[in-house]
Amino acid sequence: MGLHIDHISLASPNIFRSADALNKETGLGYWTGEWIRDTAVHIVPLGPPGNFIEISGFVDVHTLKNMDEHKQWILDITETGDHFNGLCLGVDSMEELEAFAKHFGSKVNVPDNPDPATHFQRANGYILPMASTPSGKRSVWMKGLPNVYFYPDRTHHSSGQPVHPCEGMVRPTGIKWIEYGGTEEEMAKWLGIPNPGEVLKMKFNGKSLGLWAVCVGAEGKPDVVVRRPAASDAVPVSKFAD
Amino acid sequence: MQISINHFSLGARNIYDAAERLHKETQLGFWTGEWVQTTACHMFPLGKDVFIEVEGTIDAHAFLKMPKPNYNYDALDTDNEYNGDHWTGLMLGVTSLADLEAVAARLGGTVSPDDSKVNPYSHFRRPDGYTMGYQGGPRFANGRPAKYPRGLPGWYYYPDVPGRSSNQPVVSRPHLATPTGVKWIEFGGTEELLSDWMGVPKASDVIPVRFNGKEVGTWAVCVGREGMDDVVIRRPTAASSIKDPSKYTTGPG
Repeated sequence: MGLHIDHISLASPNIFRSADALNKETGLGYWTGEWIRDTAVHIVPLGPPGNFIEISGFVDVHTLKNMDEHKQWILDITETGDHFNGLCLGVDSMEELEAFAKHFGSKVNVPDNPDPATHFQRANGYILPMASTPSGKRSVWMKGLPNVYFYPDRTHHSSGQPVHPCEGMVRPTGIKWIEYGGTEEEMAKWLGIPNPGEVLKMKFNGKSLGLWAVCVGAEGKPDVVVRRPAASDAVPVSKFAD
Repeated sequence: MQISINHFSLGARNIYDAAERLHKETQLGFWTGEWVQTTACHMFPLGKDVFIEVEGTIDAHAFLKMPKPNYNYDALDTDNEYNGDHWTGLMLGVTSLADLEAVAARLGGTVSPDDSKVNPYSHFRRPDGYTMGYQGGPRFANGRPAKYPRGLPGWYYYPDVPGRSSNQPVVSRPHLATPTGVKWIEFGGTEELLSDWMGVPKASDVIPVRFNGKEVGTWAVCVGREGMDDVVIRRPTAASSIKDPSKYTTGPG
């Protein structure tokens, strides 16, 4: 596939409430049970070629005793409700991911840590291996920028797991487009490709950086547009300029 | 009146972590996705219509706005060998609303309303849209009677037994144990206190309970497993980690 959209992160103050609300709004189903450390995700598959929204939020309020910059960011961007806080691109090989790491002047987060606590886990015991770039103390999501992933095990990709049944469920047929802040020139520079709008089905709205909407096809029904403010609407990316 | 164990509540800082540890300890399976307002549960069916709800707060902003001190938070914040897990409730079941109302009246309280159809979001819900319609009690409008400490069992009437959390399929994974029911529970306090609360001559003749004389609440649950040894799930009861219960205006039971 080359560089593509892999998944979208939707930060939520209450992932159970947000998944329920998104289901009511769109008819899209979701599955539950995936988590890492103090955070869990409810997964909304978006159809082929394998995309999903992860509705993510704290599930351990005791974690707030030991705050850090990232936790504070999550708290701040969810104080007024759901915000899109990450666009996660994908490539098909570790070599491609390493090329992006080189472009970013960074390294690859390699999924070789034997401690399961460092990986997403599921209620069936599956531990999700994934590699990403760039690597760094501060996530590029906080600057409204996408990062890039390689999933060595596509058969267990979150987009392909069965959802809970629900009444009036919509069958998603894939992402039609996404709406992003900033300009295509900024995105081209960040990714080192000339035409991210065409490659990644991105429209640019000139607002603050980050994802603002995703349009998903629905079998036999009108397209579904999921619109939420970008995280940068709640916490400006300038806060993380240093 | 038929009285039975309905379910147990196992409070956790992080229900995902706690459920995974409980599975590894017991090989019992669980399912996910049930929630009400700011609380979610991972459910462990135990056989014979009984279950454990691994329960925790999943809304950080709501938690920050909750009145403090918070009884359950303070109990769970106490370190132990189970990453803070504490038993936070034993729930008894009766088989009719009339029985539930009789229990609540005997104890000087009332029962919760059956408003699951009109206020579905004030009830436990599941991702498939199912809303749990149950009623519980006793609710005390003017505080609980002094002779009944926190930690005594709540009472419930679940009209939909097939829909009960004990009777939903667990997430499949290798080497799951098949639970065959609760063999016994270890409870704090005395038989006299629990018998008084239950309105029966001898509580242990009605439910399989033994007493350790410690703080009131569940301390251990023994579960049978098909083709395997029984497994004992032992955690401290919440009251054992609360130094001064008088500080709290809210809390379990």
